Amino acid sequence: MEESDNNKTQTKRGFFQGILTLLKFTWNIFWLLILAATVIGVLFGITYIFNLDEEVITKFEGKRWQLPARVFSRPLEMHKGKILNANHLEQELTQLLHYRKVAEPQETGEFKRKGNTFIVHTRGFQFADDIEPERLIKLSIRKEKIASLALVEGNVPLTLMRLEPSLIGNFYPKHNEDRVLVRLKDVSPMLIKGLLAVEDKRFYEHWGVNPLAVGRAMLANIKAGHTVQGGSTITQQLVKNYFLNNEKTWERKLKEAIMAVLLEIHYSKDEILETYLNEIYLGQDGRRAIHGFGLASQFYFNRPIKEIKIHEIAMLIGLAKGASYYNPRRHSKVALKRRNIVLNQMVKGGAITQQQAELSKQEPLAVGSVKPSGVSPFPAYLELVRKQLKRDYREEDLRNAGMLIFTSMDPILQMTAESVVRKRVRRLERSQRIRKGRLNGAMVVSTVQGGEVLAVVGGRDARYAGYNRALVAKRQIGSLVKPAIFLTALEKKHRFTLASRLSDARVTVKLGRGKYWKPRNYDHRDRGAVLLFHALTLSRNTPTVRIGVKLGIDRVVDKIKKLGVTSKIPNYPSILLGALELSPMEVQQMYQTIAAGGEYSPLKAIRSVMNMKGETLNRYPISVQQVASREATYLLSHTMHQITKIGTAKALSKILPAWKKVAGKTGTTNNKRDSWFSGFSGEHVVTVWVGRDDNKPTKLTGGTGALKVWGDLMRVLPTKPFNPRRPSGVRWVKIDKDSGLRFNSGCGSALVLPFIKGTAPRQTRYCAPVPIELDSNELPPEPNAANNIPSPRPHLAPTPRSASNWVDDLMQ
Amino acid sequence: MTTMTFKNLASLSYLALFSVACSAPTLAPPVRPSVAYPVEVPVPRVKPKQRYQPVPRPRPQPYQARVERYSENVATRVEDMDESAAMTTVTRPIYEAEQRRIDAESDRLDPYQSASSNTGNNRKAARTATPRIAAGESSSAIMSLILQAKLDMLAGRSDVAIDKLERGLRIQPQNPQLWNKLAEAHFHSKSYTQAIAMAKKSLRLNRRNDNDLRKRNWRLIAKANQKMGNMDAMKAAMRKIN
Repeated sequence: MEESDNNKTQTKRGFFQGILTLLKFTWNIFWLLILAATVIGVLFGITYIFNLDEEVITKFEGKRWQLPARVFSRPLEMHKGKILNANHLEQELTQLLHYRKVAEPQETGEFKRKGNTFIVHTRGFQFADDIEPERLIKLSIRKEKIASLALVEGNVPLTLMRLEPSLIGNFYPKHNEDRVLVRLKDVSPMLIKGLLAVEDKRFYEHWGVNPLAVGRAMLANIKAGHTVQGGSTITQQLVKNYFLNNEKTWERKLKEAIMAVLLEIHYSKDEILETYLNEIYLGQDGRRAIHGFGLASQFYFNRPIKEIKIHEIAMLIGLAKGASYYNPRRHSKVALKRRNIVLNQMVKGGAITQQQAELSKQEPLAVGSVKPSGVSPFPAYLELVRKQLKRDYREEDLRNAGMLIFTSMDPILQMTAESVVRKRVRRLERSQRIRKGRLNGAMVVSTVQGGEVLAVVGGRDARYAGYNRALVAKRQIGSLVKPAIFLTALEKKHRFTLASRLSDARVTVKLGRGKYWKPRNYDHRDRGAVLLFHALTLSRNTPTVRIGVKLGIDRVVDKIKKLGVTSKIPNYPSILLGALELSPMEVQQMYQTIAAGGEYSPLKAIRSVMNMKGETLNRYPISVQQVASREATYLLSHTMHQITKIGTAKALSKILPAWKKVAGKTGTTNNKRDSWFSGFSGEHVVTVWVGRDDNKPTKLTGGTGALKVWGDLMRVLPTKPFNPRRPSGVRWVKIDKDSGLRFNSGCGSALVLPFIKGTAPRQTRYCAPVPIELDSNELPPEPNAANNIPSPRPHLAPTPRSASNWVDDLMQ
Repeated sequence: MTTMTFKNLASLSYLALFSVACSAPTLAPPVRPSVAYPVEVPVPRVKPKQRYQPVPRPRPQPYQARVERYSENVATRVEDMDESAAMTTVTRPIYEAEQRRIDAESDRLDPYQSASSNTGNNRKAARTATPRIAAGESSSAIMSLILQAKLDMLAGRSDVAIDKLERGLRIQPQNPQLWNKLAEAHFHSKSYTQAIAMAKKSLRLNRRNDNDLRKRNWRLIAKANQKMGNMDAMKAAMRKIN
C-alpha cells in the first residue's frame, strides 16, 4: 500500500517534475525566442530607420532645388535724355511690374504720378553685373524724354539707373510645380510668428513630434466623432508633403513621425521652416500647382512677399489648412472667416496686437481678380528664347535648375507691335474681302546696333502659343532679295555704280537645253534704259535679273548667306526674283546686316543666363563682323531710303513725319500670296509678313499689305531717324536723271547720288541748243551744220586739243 | 671667195626661211578667249554717245527676245588704279586741288549731313526737324559706366566689364570710346578677332579725330594681331600709330 502510495506519489512527483521541466524548457525557449525576436526586430528597425534616413536626406537635398527657369524682359534703363513716354512708363509700372499707384509712396513697389512727374519706390534687383539697390526716385518727363532724374532724399541727381526686369515667362519642371523661392530672412517676422501660432506653437521646442498636441487632437476628435483637429507639427506636415501620400493609416502616421524626428536630427529648425515656407501647397492654377508663400503672394496679390500686409499674410496662413477649401477666389466668404480666425490666433501667439487685428479685420480680401497666368503672355518671344537656349543647355536643366534668363525683349514695344498687327491685319482682311480669320501676319523688331531682338509677333492672336509664323513659317520672299543682289553688284565698284544704265526690256535666261526662263516686270512694261538706282527704287525685275546673271548666281547666293541667312538656298536663277523660302526671322537677319552698314551680328534674344545663386552661367556678348563693303552698303541703304521717298514704298513719306527717315524694301510674291516689308530706321529694324496660312492669293502687294503694318508701327515707335555715317570713300555727285552722266545745269533734271570714290561718271551730259530768237539786224553767223553750233556748254570738261586742231588754228 | 660666201649666205637664208615655214604652225597657236563661256553675254547697254551730240531721252525699245546664257561664274577683274601714284610734281597740286573741290561739293550735296531733308524745301524741313537728341545729355551716364568697366577690367572681371559697356552701347550705340573699351575688354578675355573688329569700328566712329583714341585703337589692334601671330598685320598697325 505504502509502496503503492509511494509509487503513486513518486509517479505524481515525476509527472509534476516532468511538466515543470517541460515548462522550464519552454520558458527558456520562449525567452530565447523573445530575445532573438527583439534582436532581429531591433536590427530590422535600425535598418528600416537607416533606410528612411537615407531617403530623407537624398530627397530633401535633391528636391529642394527643383525650380522653374524664369525669363525676364529687359530692365528699363533710365537716364537724363532717355526717350520715354509717360504713359508707357505707367503701363510698365502697373501692368508688368505690378506697382501700386498710391498718394504717397512709402514702401517698395509703390509709385505716384502727377502729370508727367513720377515718384517711384523701386524694388531693386540683383543683376548679372551688379546690384541695383532699392531707392525712392523722382523723375519728370518732358516732350517724351526724361528731363530730370534724382533721388528724393536730398534731391541728388542720378546719372543712370534701371528698374527691375519684368517676368515674361517660365519653363516649368515636369510636374508643373511652380514656386518663388524665399529665404527666411526675407520673410517678415510677422508671417513666421503668425504661422507658428496657427500651425505649431511649440515648433522651436519639440523634437519633430509633439505628443501633447497629438493627445489633445485625439481627445477632440473622439469627442466630435470625426477628425476636427490635427496634431501634426510643421515638420510632420513637411514630411507628409514631401515624401508621403495623403492616406490616413497608422502605418503612415508612424512613418511620418519617424521621418520627422530624423529630419529634426539632420537639419536645423530654421532650415526646416524655410523649406516648409517654400514647399507648402497653397493653390492651383489649371495644371500649375502653387507651392510656397513666395509664389502664393504673387498669385493672389500680384506682389512680392516683402510687400504684403497683415490681413494678406493672415489669409495666406489660413490657406495652409486647405488651399482648395479656403480658395479666396472661389469661396470668398469661407476664406474671409478663416482669415479672421487666423488673425485672432495671431494675436494670441503675439505676432500682432489686438488693435492691428481689429484694423485688419475691416480690410476686404483684396485678392487680384485676374490671376496672373503661369502661361506666358508672350509665347512667340519665349519660343525664340527657348530656341537659343537649347543650343547651350539640356532641356532638363532648363526646367529644374531655377535659372534666371535675361532677355532683351521690350515689353511695351512687344505689346504695341502685337496690337498693330492685330488691328491692321483685321482691316486689311475686311478691305480685301477675305474670309474672316484667314489673313495672318508676323513681325520681328530688333535693334540696329548689336542685333538684339526686341519683339516677336507670331500671328494675330499673340496670346495663343501656336504656330509661330515669325520663326517657323517659310515663305517666298519676292523682291526682298533684291537688295542683296544690288549689294553684290555695287561691291564690284568698277562694273556697277548707282548711275549704271540697264535695260528694262524683257529678258530670257537659258536654263538648260530648250529650257528658258522669261521673267517680266511687275507692270509688264518696259521703261527702256534705267539707272541702277531706279531699277531698285522702282523694283524692276528684268534689270535685276540681268545684274544677277552677269554677276553669277553663286556670287549672289554667297552674299545672301554672308548677310546671315542660314537656310539652304537653291542655285537657280529664279532666286534672283525671290523664289527662295525664308522665315521672317531670317529676312530680319539679312536686313539687320544691311542696316548695320554691312556688319553682321547674329540676332539674339538672350543677354545672359544666371543660376540661382546669382552666378552668371553664360553671357551672349555683342559680336561684330564686317561681311559687306561699307561703301557699297552705304550706297544701297541710301537707295533703300529713296524707296520710301520716291519708290515703291513712297506711301510711307505720307504716313511718317519728315524727320523720321527710314529705309526699306517691299516684297510681293507670285499671285500676291505673300506681302512683305522689311526696313529700318536709325535704331530699329522691322520685318513684316502678311499672308495666308493656306498659301492662297491675298490680293495684297508688299506696298498695300505689309507696308501698312510696318508704317503703323513706325509711326508710334520712338526711334532715331535713319542717318547713316558716310564712309570716307564715298563722294556725293550731282548726276543727270536720264543719262546717268554728270548733271548739266543747261538741261535735264538732277539727281544727287553717292559714289564710291573714283567711280563717279566723268562725262557731263550734253545739252541740245535751244533756238534763240534775236533781232534781225544782229543775226549770228549762219550755222552750216548742226554739230558745229557753239552751244552754251557750262560745266563742260575742256576738250583735249589734238594735233590736227593745232594745225587748223595755225592755218586760220 | 666672195661668191662662195654669197652662195653660202643665200643657202643659209633659204634654210632659215624653210625652217621658219615648217615650224610656223607650232610657233603660233590659235588664240582662244579667256572667258569662262564661249558666247559673250549681250549686255544691253546704250553706247556712250559722242561728246557734242545730244543724248536723246531713251525710248522704250520694241521687244526683242534676248538669250542670256546663265553661267556659273563670270569674273572679269578690273584692277584698282591708284591715280595719285602716277602723279608728277607738277600735276599733283592740280590733282589735289581738284580732289578738294570734289570733296567740298560732296559735303555740300550729302543729304545726311545737314539737318534739312533731301527735299530741298527748307521751310518744311525746319518745321518737321528731327527732335534734337543732344549727345551731352547722357554722356555722364556713359562716363560712369566706362569708369566702372575700367575698374572691373583692372580687377580681372572682363566679362562684367563687357556687360557694363554693352549697357552703355544701348544708350549710345555710336560712341567710339565705348567701342574702344569694349575692344579692350574683349582683348582681355582673349577674343582677339572681336577686339580687332571693335577697335576698327571705334576708329570709324571717331568723327572728331581724337588722336589719343586713334592711337589707343591701333595699339590694341597691333597687340591683338601679335597675340594671334599675324606679324604683318601687327607691323601695319604699328605704323599707323605714329
